[in-house]
Amino acid sequence: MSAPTQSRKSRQAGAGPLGALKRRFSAPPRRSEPTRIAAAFALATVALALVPLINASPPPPALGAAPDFSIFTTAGSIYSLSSDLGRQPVFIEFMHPDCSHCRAMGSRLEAAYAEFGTRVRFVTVAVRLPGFADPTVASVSAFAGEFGHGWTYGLDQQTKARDLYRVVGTPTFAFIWENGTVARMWPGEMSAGELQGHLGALVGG
Amino acid sequence: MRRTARKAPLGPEEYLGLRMAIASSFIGFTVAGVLVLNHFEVADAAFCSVGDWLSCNTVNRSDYSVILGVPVALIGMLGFLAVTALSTARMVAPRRGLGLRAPPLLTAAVGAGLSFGAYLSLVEVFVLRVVCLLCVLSLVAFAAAGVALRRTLVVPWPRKAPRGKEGLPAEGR
Repeated sequence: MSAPTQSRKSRQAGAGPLGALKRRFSAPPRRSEPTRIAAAFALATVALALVPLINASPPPPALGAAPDFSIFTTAGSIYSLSSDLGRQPVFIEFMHPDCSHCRAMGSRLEAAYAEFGTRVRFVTVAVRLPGFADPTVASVSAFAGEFGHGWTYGLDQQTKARDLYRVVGTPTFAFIWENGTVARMWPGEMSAGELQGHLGALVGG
Repeated sequence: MRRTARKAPLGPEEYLGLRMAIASSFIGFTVAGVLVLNHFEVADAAFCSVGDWLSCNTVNRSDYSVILGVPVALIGMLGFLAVTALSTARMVAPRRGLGLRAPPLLTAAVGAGLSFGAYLSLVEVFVLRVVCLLCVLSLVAFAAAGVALRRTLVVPWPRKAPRGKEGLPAEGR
């Protein structure tokens, strides 16, 4: 390649490290380039294939002590999380009665309660969300009744539980070990299989 | 000048575009791989399941996430792999074999990927009413590959060029 052609290309690409990078990537490929591309894709595939192995290693790491909170239950009493912490695993659902995904989880939670209800404490906390009407005892009771949920349902009227657990949307689930530490926070819907897997991990099954 | 033509049968901007398309495809391939794992409940992708309208789990495990028993994300992975293979072939040997036929095949692959991605995005917004961030990222990767390949995609289906014409000798001799 002649010198004038080279300098014209250099001017087009610009000076400095960015220009050098552009010149390098505008050049014809070296003989080893296809091999390097194939190697990068192979490496990504291997990394993806390793994910199931990493996920399969129990138990999930603890995220710290579960913050305590109190809520007004739909039965008219006050429930405090501290009454269960350290005694048995706890599963908390943060939800809103108008949330379609919480509704989609209704029957899955009922099935999970039938299997784990005697070994894991189920608690549902109705939270206030921006843009949604505040949950009321009537709306939350109607929601629980619709799916036949028999566990504790309460209202987080002061948004303390929501803030402590950094709930930004519903549903959000908290899995708490028997020793009172948070095993996992899960924002969004989950499948029946995932729910069963995480609850099974809580009880060591 | 003959030597120059043999070393660089494509323009510098096309080489740059092909490499950018390969980089975009690599990102898209990885993202689609995470979505495949998420579909089979191996990876939870909880980081992108936030709130009532932003959930990868909801979209990626819906009825729309499978076509004829094949996960859509897996089809996306294969699409990105195809774009990479065709771009590499175009870059290495643009005047023979797959490299010669790469432009129309790339046009078809990118067009199909973008159309399919757009359809799934419409399903997300208007049917499921939930947006899957990783799916959007995958679509963006396809779009980026399409933009990067703009100099390659416009080439029509190649006819067998007479050797020695247009100052472009056959390669690899």
